[in-house]
Amino acid sequence: MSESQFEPKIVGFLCNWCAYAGADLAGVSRLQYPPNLRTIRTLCSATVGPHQILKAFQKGADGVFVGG
Amino acid sequence: MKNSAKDVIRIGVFICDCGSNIAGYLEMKELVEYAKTLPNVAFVQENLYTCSEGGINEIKVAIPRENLNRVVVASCTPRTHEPLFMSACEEGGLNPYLFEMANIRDQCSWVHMREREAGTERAKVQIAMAVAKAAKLRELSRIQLSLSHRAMVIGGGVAGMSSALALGNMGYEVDLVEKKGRLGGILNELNMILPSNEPPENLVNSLVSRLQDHSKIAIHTESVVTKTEGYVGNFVATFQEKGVEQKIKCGAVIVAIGAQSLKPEGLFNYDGQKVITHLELESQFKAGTVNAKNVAIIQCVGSRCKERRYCSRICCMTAVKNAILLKEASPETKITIFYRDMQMYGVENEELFRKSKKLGVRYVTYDPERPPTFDGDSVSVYHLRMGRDIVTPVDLLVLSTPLIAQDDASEISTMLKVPINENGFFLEGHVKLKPLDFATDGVYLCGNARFPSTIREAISQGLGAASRAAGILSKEALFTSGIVADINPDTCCGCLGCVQVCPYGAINFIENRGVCQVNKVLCKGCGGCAATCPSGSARLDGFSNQQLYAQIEQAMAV
Amino acid sequence: MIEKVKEHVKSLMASGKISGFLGLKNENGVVIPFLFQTEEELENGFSLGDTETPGAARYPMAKLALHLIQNSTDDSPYGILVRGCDERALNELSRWNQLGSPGRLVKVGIACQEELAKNHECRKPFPDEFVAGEKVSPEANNSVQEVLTKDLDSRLAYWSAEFDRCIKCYGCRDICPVCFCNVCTLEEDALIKTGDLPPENPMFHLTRAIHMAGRCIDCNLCTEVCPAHIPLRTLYKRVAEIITDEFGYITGEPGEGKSPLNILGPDPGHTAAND
Repeated sequence: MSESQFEPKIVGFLCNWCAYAGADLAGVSRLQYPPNLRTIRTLCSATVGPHQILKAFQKGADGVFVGG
Repeated sequence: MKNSAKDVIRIGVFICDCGSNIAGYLEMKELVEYAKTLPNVAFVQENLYTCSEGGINEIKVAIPRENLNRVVVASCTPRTHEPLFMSACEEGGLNPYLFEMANIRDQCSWVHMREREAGTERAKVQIAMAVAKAAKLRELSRIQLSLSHRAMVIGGGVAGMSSALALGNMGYEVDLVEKKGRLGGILNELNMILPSNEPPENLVNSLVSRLQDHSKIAIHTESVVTKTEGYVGNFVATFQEKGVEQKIKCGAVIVAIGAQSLKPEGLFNYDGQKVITHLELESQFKAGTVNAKNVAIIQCVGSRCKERRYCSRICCMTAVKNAILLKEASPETKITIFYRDMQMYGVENEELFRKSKKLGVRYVTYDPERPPTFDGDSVSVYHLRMGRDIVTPVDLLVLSTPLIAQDDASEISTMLKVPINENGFFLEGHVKLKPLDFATDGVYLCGNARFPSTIREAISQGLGAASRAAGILSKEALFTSGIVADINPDTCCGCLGCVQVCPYGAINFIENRGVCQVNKVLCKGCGGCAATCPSGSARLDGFSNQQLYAQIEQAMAV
Repeated sequence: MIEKVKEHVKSLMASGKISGFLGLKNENGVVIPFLFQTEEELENGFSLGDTETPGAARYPMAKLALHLIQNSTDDSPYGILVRGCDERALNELSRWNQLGSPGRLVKVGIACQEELAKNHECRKPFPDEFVAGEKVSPEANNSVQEVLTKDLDSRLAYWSAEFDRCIKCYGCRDICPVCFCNVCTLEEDALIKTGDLPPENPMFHLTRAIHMAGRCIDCNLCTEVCPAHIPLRTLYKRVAEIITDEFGYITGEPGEGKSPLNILGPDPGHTAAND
């Protein structure tokens, strides 16, 4: 696969009260971004520990986003 | 061996068109067909609007008809619609926590409007993730709690008094706790209230007599709250009343501790004699000792500066009020107000502003980079339009200083575990959505404790906080969320890691068993304990590691 | 040295300060951990683990003490034979609230011989509570710096190759003196698929590494015990170093403070310079 075709897969852990709300707001505002993100809602970014991040990388994520 | 009906996971997936909000940008047929292929999915339904009465009804009917034991809705966002769909599940006979949502509108169709194919692919993944998590969901229950229907109001100023009176009139027992010897707060120091043009005593006396005569209201003056324990519905507050310790149970707490006027020590040769604050001017008015002929008022003294960036909001109105009163008392008095910009919002305040100009009050704007100076006899300031310094003789200089936080604000903030901002004012839960609530349930705020406000605003905030508190006090019982942490006592090693990271103080160490335990009423479900627990003994039901792992695996599976 | 230790333990026993002594015993040429309860037992095969080379037979004494405390039915105090590493492990376990009331363990410290300290490149080859032996200077272990000189790709290749030899015996975990959980994340099927060999790479080893952050006291037992010769100490030493760099926390020091990963909010040790 050539460099130009590389499509990263990004797992996003989003805090319900801020980052997830922000991701919703991006939608409400019709801000467009590439569809490479898969979001996982948590009640707080504190829920996310190193194990979840490792797991995402182990399963092939190219990037992990923790928003909180 | 055949599994019993309960063991077989049967997930119903409801995919919402949201009119054209989703269906206009994603391939709905493809999503439906895809959802049918996912493990454990027993039923898939496309709705025009899942949240409409018809859509909700389809969920309710499908649960028993299709024998569903999990429901997934792929639609907008759980932040707005999860409660609705959860109650639909409950009405359909399913535990509401066996519900999961896939966000395919706010975080998919609306942000990938020009990428139909890729957007549809992402929606598939989000649905697969929700289905995978749904398969791992467990029944959860909300805990029911009894509560005290009594309220405690801290602070007997106009906001606190209004709050206490409103709650008393609603029929709730109220303890009004005031640290000073009498009620009234900062109003007791004022001379006159405009635009109503009446002495503040009228307002204070009317409130005090109604409070004193009220059978539901207990007034505690010279009382300082020293300790609060417990949680929404079940607080226990300890206070010292005239040196005697008292304990009360209450279901809600209202913080109305007010603010204080900044003493501008070191600014403009402030001495309390020739250079005074508005509060000092007002007490001179009351004493009838004002006889200055040349008065200057300087705005924004000690506010909107490096130390205090905020605007105290009420000083402009106060300056205009006092200028009018001075002019009316002796029309020949020359008054100059040095200002940066005047905040006189509302028709009545604007009218006062005009009136003051008609009466001959002179307004001179100044540049904060070149503020006025005072040499003891006159104020010099660079006049922006004339382009040179002008000198105004002065025999009374009044400084418009801001309201600042009470000295005990940070103490009370620590005691009630509620936040204050960098200026020491209490910080509401949300500036627009929860202006009178704290993030902590059962604690509310109003008046100057929150931010400098006019008397009218303080009263309406007091009433608002009372109404928020009544929202709790009026309940027969309280229910906690089912999404709370749990610590398995069989595997917990008692390492105390979770105790330290819990921001709500919800975890206790049970000494004799050597294990930690979650107080499910205090727990807010942040999952910090689960993330820090080395043995995985702490788990957050609803967002457990197993559930997150299932989502992560699906996120990467496609 | 051994006689001095023995006499010390005997006097502790005689004065009733300890109801047993957790030490080592030479049983038919094999050194095993043993709970000595009488003077006669001490006279019969007490060992410091000096077999082929000094200290060749080492055990995670702190971990054994942990099990002893957890399984004892009363609050009686025990003596325990400790080297520098064992004492660091006890200090760390104490911060994690694992050793019960203070005074439960009476440390009988011995300094490690120069050869032993050199073999394990030990950062502090003697305990603070010191009874016998001669203190020798610490030895530096530079394995972390050596790995860090590689670029990221070759570092990943290096570790992947090392981890691929893993036979998942759990020896690293079982020998580790500061691993104390009743259930282990490494065996959680939802996180790391059980039954795979080698285990999911690098998930398995990085999971254990995460648990060593702010915890590993650098005793080198894991590397010593690993049948696949994976340089685990280097990995764990590195994660412990990250915590030291970020929060100023040094594992194995005496004291009450918590591991920084168990503290909410800014840590006073976390200075602006590290931001």
